[in-house]
Amino acid sequence: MEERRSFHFKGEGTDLFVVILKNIFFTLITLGIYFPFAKTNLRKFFWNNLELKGEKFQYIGTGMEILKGYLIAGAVLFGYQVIVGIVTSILPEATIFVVLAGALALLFIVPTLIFGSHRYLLTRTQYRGIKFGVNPEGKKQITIEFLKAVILSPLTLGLYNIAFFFIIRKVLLNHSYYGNEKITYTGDTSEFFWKNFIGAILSYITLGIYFPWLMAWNLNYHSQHTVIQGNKLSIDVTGQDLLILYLKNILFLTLSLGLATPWIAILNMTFYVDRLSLEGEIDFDKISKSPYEKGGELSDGFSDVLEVDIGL
Amino acid sequence: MKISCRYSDGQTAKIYEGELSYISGHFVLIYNNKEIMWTSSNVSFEKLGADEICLHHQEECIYVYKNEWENLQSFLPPKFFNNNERKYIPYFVVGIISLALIFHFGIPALSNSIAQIIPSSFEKKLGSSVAEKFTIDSMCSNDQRVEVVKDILREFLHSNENVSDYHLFISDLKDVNAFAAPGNTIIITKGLIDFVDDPDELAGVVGHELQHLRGKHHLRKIIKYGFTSLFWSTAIGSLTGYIVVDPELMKTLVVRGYDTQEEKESDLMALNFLREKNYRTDGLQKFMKKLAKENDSKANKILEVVSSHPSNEQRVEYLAKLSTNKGKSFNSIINKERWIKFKSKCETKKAP
Repeated sequence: MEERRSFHFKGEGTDLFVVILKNIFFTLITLGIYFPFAKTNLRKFFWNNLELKGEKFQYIGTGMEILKGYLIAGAVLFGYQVIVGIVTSILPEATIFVVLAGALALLFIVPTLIFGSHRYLLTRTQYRGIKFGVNPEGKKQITIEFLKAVILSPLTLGLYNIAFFFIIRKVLLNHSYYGNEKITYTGDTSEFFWKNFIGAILSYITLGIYFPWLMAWNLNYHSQHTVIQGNKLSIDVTGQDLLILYLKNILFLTLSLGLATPWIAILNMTFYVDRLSLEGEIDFDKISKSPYEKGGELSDGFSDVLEVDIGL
Repeated sequence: MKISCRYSDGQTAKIYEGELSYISGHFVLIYNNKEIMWTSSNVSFEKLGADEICLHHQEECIYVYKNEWENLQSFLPPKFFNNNERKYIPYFVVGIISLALIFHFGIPALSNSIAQIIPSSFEKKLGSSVAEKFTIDSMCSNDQRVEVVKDILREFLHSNENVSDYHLFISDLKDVNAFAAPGNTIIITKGLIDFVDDPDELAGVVGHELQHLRGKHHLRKIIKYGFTSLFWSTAIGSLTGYIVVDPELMKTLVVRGYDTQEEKESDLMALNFLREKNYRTDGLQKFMKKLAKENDSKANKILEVVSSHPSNEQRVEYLAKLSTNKGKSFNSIINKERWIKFKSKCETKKAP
């Protein structure tokens, strides 16, 4: 049984508290310039305290990469505003076309950023000296799925979003690699959609009480369908466990007026990670460097500026 | 001194057990019957959680547990020291509290200084964009109303001021309110016109708004909001606070009113002016008393506790102590006929 519980989170609330204090302090005195570095500090804390079979994950991204993304995104947005301003003052009737061109560009920028952010996070994650990676071919599929969602979501009054987020997860995971080892996601869209559709109705009817059970089902479903080298992930979480966790979060946050945030974050991380396991053994001798271990440099900062985060 | 470690070559996911030592500026690793040597200047040091460190050299990494590392640390240059960051907690806490205090007291002071040096041409531009937000749907075409307010305002002006320096607007809002906006702009709502019973009440309100303009309270508030928003956005890492304060937001800020000190300052200055010109000073107090009665609900009382704006009761209280019905009445300037016209139904037209 101990062997199954192969993931472990070793971070402590006090250490996270130090990271948060340091981040707030330097972000304030640098008027926000430190923010990308603060984000990196937090990621390093969570990644570097996560263990699988006794070996730690490593986050190797840098704040400078994210800052560059911010600066370029800022320059692009500023440039666009300048163009809109010039067109509005010289040829006001043409403003609508510039705005439409901007909206059209967004249809392609957003999926690029969704893919790029995932790629950035994975290529900056290392385990046993080997980086994760993402096959760039997945970007085309993400773009097609995003354009489909833009049409289908309004037509289905937003219901298609349930399927859309699932498909995005599926495409991203199916293009992900640990070293040269492909990761596979075997979940079925219609099964997930109907379970979540009915679950959402039940959550509504039960005034949210069913929600933790729906989330537990989702967690179990996602982990059981994530496979690497023929080994499935599995998570041992029930709706009751989640309900208790959510109640603890609300209680501790309220009683501490938010000051307990670092300890609550650790409580949550430990809750999920300690219940997560990898069924079977990975033959690490067979795993070598990823062919896709680079990319996504600017996407993380760019996504922040455009607030593109689908929370996968 | 040798310590146990693990080694990853960065080419495969295999981890090798090994032994590490530090000899005259070099890390020496023995693993799998091999020996490698790294010059310490080419090695970077990274903490992995609280109990492990990684010595990086290009794509390779030597993993060492903290307790083992401490045995080697006395032989190493300072950059390889495993600092305990927990000891910095008090410094960060004091630093953040100091920054919060600086911003709490510094922002109002800074806003005040900036408000004084903003060119009036720029302020006028701001004022017209804010006024537009109030009058965008419709505005009163009955100029008599504006003329009445102008006549009252004239009595408050210094000898070197002209009533044409001020921009007066009647908004068709039904709320009982008046606002001082950038660019010497005073906006009076239709609700207030219906609410005031005599020219002395109106004079109290106009005098009060004029003092907000003279004290540049509106500009102070807009600048203070901008800085505070920037501060908190920076603190919580949200980029939305960096958005420029736009006319819609300025309108909201103007409508929201000012803090206790600024409201009291405007009330008292208005009373002083009336007294100096030998006018009766109880108009504003009568107005506030009626308003307090109108807003006398439990919900409002609860809101007053958390509001930085003074309650109507508090204002009535100090105004009652300072007001008197002695002196001239504004009835002498606004005769009955003009007052009836002032109170008459507003004929609205679309804003240009």
